[in-house]
Amino acid sequence: MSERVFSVSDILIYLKKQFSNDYFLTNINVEGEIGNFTNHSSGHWYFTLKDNSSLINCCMFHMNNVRVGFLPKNGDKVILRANVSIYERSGQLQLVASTMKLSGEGDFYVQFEKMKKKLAPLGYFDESRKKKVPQYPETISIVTGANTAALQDIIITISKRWPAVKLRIHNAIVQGKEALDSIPKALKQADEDNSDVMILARGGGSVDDLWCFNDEGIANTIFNLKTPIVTGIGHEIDFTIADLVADKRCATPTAAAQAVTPDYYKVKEQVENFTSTIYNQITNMLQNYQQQYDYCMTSLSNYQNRISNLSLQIDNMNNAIASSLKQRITNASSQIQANSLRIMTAYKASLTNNGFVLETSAKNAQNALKALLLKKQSEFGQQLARLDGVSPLKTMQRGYSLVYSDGMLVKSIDDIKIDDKIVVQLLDGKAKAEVYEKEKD
Amino acid sequence: MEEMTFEKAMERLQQITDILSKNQCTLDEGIKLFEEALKLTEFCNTKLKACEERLNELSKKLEN
Repeated sequence: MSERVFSVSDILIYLKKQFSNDYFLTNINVEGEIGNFTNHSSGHWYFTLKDNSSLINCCMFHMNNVRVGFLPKNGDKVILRANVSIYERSGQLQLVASTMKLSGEGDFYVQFEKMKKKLAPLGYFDESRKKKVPQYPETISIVTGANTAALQDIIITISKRWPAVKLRIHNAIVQGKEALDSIPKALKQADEDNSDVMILARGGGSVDDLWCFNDEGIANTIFNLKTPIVTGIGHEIDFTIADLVADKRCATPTAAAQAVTPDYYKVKEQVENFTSTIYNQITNMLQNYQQQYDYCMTSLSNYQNRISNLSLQIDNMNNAIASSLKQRITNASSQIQANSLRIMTAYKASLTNNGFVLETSAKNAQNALKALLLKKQSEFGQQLARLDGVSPLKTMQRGYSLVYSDGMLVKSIDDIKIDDKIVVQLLDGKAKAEVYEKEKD
Repeated sequence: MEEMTFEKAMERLQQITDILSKNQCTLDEGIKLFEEALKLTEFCNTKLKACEERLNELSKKLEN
């Protein structure tokens, strides 16, 4: 019976399969130091991971290393999440990494992010609540480590830029656990100075050294300060929670000192500029007013001339009107006279005509009247003759008489009684009588 | 009256410059502003002189 012979590939494929099925060899965290790092043109990373006594080949494919966020270098201590595997072509054991983070810092980063997430909703980082840092402070409080290079840098920078400012220095422990009490205490003391601005500073250091500045207690203290605060912690790349809560973040202590002070020489220049600008402005203003005044005076003078001309024109017009009016009145007057004369003549003529008509009418009337008189006279004669015919006198001529009693004509025997005195009217006289007897027919 | 500070003086000088440059005042107001500006620049110059003296002191210290 012959023994089974395996190819190299068979063995390696088998081993690879075994590794991938082993729970303890997949998706595990491995810590070590990077060596022989190669960033291949394909985008994959090849390197070794070693500790004090051992070494293992590693690879990290492009699809995974794009998410790492930094480019590792030899000597970096990292933690890989990886699978243990076999590279068949060389038969070498290797770690195929899916994630990589710097050891130590990785945890710090997570904690930093956690703290950020916790404080952000409380408004700790809101720009709207940040206080304005004054441009020309008269007093500056400084919180930093005693006798540190950071403090020296700050003092020198401020002295050069804005030397008359008063500095109030508050020492604090700026590293380690003691810093967590010391920094808030110093910040509160500095806040009592009622300075125009304060600086919280610390020189560069490892992430571990600066970690205290990510503490919630310090963040709280900074948040509740009434004095504007500028931070200068570590270097350009260091960003702490204290920086985020502060009213202004600067990369270094020196930068913080620059941020809270103006440059003396520039300010001097600015003040000189103000003086000359304002002098020029007021001079311009005066010149403008002078020009306006001159213009007004010229306009007024022109206006006066115009008024004089107008006045002259008005006078001329008045004269013209007066003379024209006079002429018209004279014309009208002579016309009226002429008219009056004509009317008088016409009237006279009319009167003469009328007189003639009147005379004729009078003659006609006279003739008519005469005719009427003659007619009336003839009618009267006739009437008289008729009257004469029926006159009682005529009757009396024939022997009749009239009897009156008490002035009343007696027409009946009943009108008189015995002893009445009566008057008998005869044609040529009257007789008084007394009734002594009467007899009715 | 509020205490004058360098910060306020510089702010006011800027305001005065703006007002004058925009012709937003009468001649009388302009003259008053000019007077105020002179006082402010005098105040600023006094402060700056103090700065300069201190600067000189510090320079001497550094030289020694």
